[in-house]
Amino acid sequence: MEITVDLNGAEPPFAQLISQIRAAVQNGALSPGDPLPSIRQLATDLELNNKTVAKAYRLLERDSIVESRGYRGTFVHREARANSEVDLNAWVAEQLAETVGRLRDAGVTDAEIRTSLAFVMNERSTQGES
Amino acid sequence: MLNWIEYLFYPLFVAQIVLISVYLPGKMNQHMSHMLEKYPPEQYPRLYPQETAKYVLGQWKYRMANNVIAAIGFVLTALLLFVVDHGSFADDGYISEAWPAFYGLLQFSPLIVLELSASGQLKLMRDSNTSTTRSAELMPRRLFDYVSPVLVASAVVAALGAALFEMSLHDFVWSEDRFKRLAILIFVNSFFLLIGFSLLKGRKPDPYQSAADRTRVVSLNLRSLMFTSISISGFAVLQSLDGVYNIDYLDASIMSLYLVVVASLSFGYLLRQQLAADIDFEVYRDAEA
Repeated sequence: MEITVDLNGAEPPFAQLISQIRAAVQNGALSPGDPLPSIRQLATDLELNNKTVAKAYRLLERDSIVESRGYRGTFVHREARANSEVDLNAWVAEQLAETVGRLRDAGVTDAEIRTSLAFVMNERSTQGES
Repeated sequence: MLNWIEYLFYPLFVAQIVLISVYLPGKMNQHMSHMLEKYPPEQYPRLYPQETAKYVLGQWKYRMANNVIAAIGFVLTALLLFVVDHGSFADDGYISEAWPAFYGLLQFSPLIVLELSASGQLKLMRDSNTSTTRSAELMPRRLFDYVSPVLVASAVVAALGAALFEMSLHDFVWSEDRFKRLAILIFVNSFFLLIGFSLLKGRKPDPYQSAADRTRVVSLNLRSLMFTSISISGFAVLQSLDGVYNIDYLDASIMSLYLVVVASLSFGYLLRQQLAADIDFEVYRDAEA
């Protein structure tokens, strides 16, 4: 199966990788247990930075689309097809829409919501670093 | 009066001249002409990053270099037969292996230049590739997907066997001679390992090559490396025997035979397979045409 990345595309390369691997799992081009190329190999072939491919693999692993088996490499997760149906971005958007709606109903302005969201995000990332 | 050793050497040396400087370059020239004719630069501009005249000139230089080297070979044969006094520079009076060895180096030089030039062409192709899309196969490239485990094991066993054979013939006693032979064996095989690794893990040399063609080229090259490694190990075993059983008089014949085998298994094998291959040349057509 071939994967194609447009270096000048509107979507960043790591997102293109994620969406194409997800699509391949959904349409059966990739089956559970199939081996994936190493980060270095894929980055070399696509002329991308290793970190870009590593980021795509990390996010796919977080969503249980792929799984890393140490030195043996990265493989398609056994529950990949079911997990690929879950769109985490859509779920986040839905949760935020619900929360923002409740806050607006309570009279909080959009500017205050943005400031607080930024504050919470910064707090989380500071906690994550410490 | 020729002795039987010379009867053995001269046909082998002529075979070395004909195969490496006449037959294989001839096939390569035919291939180059066929490419320019069937896939002309006007229709397949991606295949030719430079002006057509440069390819024609390059082909002419390659043909002339091989013709000159072949002529030198035939003159050398006549000198060895009628002029050179072998006893004047070799204690045993037999033909020195240096003759076929150094002539072999000369014979391989146009091929090395051709390989370097091909690398340069691929770099120009990569530089002129303005497309922003990049494609890759979504599967790992692993050694045994390209070459059979039996062939890999044969190459490893042959190399280890040659090293052990050399050591066991001398009761595992180290000497400068032993060290040199083992060092050459290790160096050559390490070099092949490096080439193999770069074929498997390195970047795609040809930016337009289809995935199927790349797979075939990697597989062909790896197999050729294995065959060459096995023949080098075989040659090392013969050299080990040479030192112990005093068959120095066969040195020149063995060297010629070795060069014929190496040329057949490397250059000859790759050329034969490439000519028979069904390469997808459509990828080299002008995208805007």
